[in-house]
Amino acid sequence: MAEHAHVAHAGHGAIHDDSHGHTEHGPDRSFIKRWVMGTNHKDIGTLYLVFACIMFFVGGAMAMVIRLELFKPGLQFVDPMFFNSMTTMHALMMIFGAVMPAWVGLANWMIPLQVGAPDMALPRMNNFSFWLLPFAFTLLLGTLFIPSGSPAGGWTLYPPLSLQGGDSFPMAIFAIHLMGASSIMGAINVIVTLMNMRAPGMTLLRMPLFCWTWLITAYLLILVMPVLAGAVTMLLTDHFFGTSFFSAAGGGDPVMFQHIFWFFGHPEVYILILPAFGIVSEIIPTFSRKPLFGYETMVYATASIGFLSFIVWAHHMFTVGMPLAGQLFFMLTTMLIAVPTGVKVFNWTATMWKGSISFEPPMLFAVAFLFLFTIGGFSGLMLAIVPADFQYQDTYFVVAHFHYVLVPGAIFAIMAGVYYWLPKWTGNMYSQSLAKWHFWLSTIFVNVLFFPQHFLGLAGMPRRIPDYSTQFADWNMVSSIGGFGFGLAQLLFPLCVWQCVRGGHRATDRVWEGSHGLEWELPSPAPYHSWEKAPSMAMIAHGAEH
Amino acid sequence: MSASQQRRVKRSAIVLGLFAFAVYAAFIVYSIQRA
Repeated sequence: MAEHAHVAHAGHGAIHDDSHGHTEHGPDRSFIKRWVMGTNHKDIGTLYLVFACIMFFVGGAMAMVIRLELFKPGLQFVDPMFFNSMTTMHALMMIFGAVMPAWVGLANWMIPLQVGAPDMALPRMNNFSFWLLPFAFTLLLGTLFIPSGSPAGGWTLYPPLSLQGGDSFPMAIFAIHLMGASSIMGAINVIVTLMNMRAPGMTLLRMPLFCWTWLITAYLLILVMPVLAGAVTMLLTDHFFGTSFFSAAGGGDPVMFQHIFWFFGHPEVYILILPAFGIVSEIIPTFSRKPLFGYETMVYATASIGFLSFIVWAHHMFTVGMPLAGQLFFMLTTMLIAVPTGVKVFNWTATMWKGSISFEPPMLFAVAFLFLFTIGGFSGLMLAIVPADFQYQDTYFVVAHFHYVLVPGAIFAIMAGVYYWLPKWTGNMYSQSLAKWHFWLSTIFVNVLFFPQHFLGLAGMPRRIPDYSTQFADWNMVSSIGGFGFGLAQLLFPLCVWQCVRGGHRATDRVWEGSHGLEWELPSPAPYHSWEKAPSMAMIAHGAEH
Repeated sequence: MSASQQRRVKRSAIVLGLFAFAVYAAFIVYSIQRA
């Protein structure tokens, strides 16, 4: 292997001779040059993660308003219109502002480190795709301060309701266009990096699963974000330019919007969760001290889920009415998703089987993900059954379902990923006891928050209402208490991260006893410019022992 | 990055960008025909 050691990237010096804005040895000393004009993948990853964290707390504050109002029956604190704004804005902030940017942040940090590339393939575009986001969200949050208020028709923007949104409507649509452009550029960057910048010897089937799941996610993004952009462009022309795409009065069809929206919306759900599968597939083998069970089947299962995500969209709209054949098709394809998802869950379980498991914070979050995401998956299967869905549609059962998938699913996986790689990023070990407090409080309260919502939904409580019948009072109070507890517990997360950034015990290069993969071959903290010389074949082969 | 690698990077980025735009246009054209 010696002859393969430290194979230099052909002509890699050119990277630093060009005008990417790098300095040769470290970050630029000028704050503006480093953080506004910089193109280093680690800095941009950090920007994305900080942005996502801020949006998580803004969106979380909106969730607190919702739970405060629902603490008991009757109208207490906010008027119904503002309540509807809160549900709409909470969803938009969390999906587009928190979860998606967090994934792009983790991709920016980790993909080049994991495949032995010196940076992302398109560093300037990387900078641009991040800097669109603050403008998009300033615009979106700006709607809170205009007389007509924020969008209140739900994040799905169904016409004709969304067209009645006043001045907030074009602002929200412009914001969504900016977020979409940002996501598409981020996705292009990931695909181009993974297809062109892998170190020699890093074949596709040696890539870590985080890279694989992100590659498939990026293809989904490229395919569906333009569909959302098309849908909202048509909403805009319906509102301002006299077209009637979705207006029945002008010969259009509002149901067509739902079809187009969910053709975007369902793959979007997988965009939010596939990278989580990747992270969990990294963490469980590390802390089980065993290779991942069924690496290749994990890759094929991810690709199958990606494919199936395009042919299930109408399960979100069974109740609009569709032919029986359509109902059967969408019901059965939806249930089919349980097969590759089951492959994953069983593979993670098999990886842990007879492993020497230890429960450091990343593993705790990953194991909680495994149990709680599966609860969300099962309630999804219940919702896939057409006659049952007619009962569940627009109830709190749906709210419970997708929150189980997204909070102890996507968000727990993001937390797990941050706790897993934070020592590699900062060079310091964080307080594991504080992180464990964060984990246990989050896990207890997330269940107190969302599990009762299954009961409320089955009992018939509709979603998106500020007031409710007194029969729903008890479980709503429990759910709100869970919400406040969960919200407060999240404050421990930035505290833990901040303490770690400021100092702490020095982290070793491998950080975790069972860690494997190229990122752990680098020193801790990872140098500002990494893999300027490509990793050796020995390193790649060792890391690829999945 | 070698010159050929740079060309590949640019070509893939342009193809993917055009593809995204084509999807955007296709859905609008489809909707115009439906409406």
